[in-house]
Amino acid sequence: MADSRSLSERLAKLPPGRHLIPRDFVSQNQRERMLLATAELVAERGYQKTTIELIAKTARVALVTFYEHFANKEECFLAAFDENVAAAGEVFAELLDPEQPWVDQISTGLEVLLEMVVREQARAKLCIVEAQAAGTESLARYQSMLERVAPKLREGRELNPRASRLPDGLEVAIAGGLMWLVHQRLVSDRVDDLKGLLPEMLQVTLTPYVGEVEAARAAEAAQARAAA
Amino acid sequence: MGRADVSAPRRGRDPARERIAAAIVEMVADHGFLAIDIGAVCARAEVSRAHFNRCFVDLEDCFLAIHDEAIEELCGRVEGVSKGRENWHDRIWAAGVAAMRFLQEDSARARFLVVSVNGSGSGAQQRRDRVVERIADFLDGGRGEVEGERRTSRCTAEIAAGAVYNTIFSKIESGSIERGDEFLPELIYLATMPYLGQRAAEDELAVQPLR
Repeated sequence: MADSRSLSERLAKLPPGRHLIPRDFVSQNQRERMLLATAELVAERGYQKTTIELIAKTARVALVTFYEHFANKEECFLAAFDENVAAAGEVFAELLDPEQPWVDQISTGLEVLLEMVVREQARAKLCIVEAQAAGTESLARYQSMLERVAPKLREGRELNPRASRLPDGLEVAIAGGLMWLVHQRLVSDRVDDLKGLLPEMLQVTLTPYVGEVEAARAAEAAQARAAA
Repeated sequence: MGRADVSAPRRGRDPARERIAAAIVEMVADHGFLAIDIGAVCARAEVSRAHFNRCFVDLEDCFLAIHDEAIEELCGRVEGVSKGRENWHDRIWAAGVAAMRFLQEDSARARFLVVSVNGSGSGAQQRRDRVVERIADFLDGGRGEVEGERRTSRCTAEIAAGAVYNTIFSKIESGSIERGDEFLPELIYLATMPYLGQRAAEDELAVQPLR
C-alpha cells in the first residue's frame, strides 16, 4: 500500500499527443490516476463534496476519459475502494505467516493495519470513513471487508474449549469495533497516536479466544516490541 | 446549515409535523435518504409544502431533526432505567433491555436510526458517530470492574461500542431485530467481555432476559 513517490509524481501525466505507448497502458495509467485522485479528494473533502469534474481535473484527464472508465462518481469510488482493499489484502497475505502461532499472526496483522493507516491516510479514509457514507452499495462493501477479516479471527476459536458458546457474529463484531476505533482517529485527525493503541486493541481482540491473562501477555509483548 | 424553528410546533402537538416525521422515517427506511425528495414526503404525509417549510429548512434538516428526537427518546429511556442502579453490570443489562424494546417497537424507525443514517450525508454521519460515542461513554464505566493489571483506557470502550453498534446494524439490516431476545445476550457479551473477562462474559450468553 505504501508508495514513496510524491503525489505529483504519482499523478504524472503521460506525454501528450501521438506516441508509441500502447493504448492499454495509457488507459490503465489514466484509470490509476483517477482512482488515486478519488482517494485524495474524498479524504480531503468527503464523498459528497467530491465531483467528477474535480476527479478528472486532479487526475489530469478529460471528462470524456472519466466517462470512458466509469458511469458515475459512485462507480469510480467503488473501484477505488475495491482496489485499495485488494492491495491491503495482498499486504496481509504477504506479511502474515500461517505457520506462526495464531496470537502472533493477530498481533502482526493489527500492527500491519495500523502501519498502513498511518502511512496511507487518504486511502484509509476512503476505505474506513467515506465508504460508510457513500451510499448503500459502498456500505455493503465496507461490511464485506469486515467479513473478510472474520475467518482469520475465527481460527482463534480452537484455543477456547468453550468456543461453541461464542456468538456466530463475534468476529465481524470485533472487526467492526477495531475499525470504529481507527475511524474515530481518522475523522478527528488523531492518527499519530494510533500505533500506541495496539496493545489495548490486541487485548480486546484476543480475550474471547485465549482469555484476559494470555491476552494481556500478548499486549505487553507488543508494547515491548514497539518500545524496542 | 441553518435549522428551522421547530420549537413552536413542539410546544403543542402538531399532527401534520408528526405525519411528516412518520413519512420520512418510513420512506428513508424503505428507499434511503438520497432517493427521496420533499414533494414525495409531503405527499406521503398529506401536508402542504408550505407547512413542511414552516417546520424544516430542507429535507436534510427534517431528517436530522427527526433523527435527533428519536435518539433523545431512546437515550431518555435508557437513562431512565439505568439511573439509580449502582452496579455497572446491572446498568448495562437494564440499558440493553430498554434499547432493544425501543428498537423492536417500530422496525422502520430502527432501520431509519441505525441503517439509513449511513449514506445520508455528513450531518447524518456525525449523528451516527455521536450515538456510538454515547454508547462508549456508557460502557466506559466498566473500567471500574477490571481486575488485575489489564490495560483499559477509553480506547477499550470505543472498540466495544463499535462492536455493539456493528452487531445491532447487522441485525436490523438483515431484518432480524424482532429476534432481539436471541441476540441481546450477544450484545451484553460484547459490552462486558473487555472488562469482566472471558469466562464472566461467556456466562452472559446463557441469560434469556426477554423470555
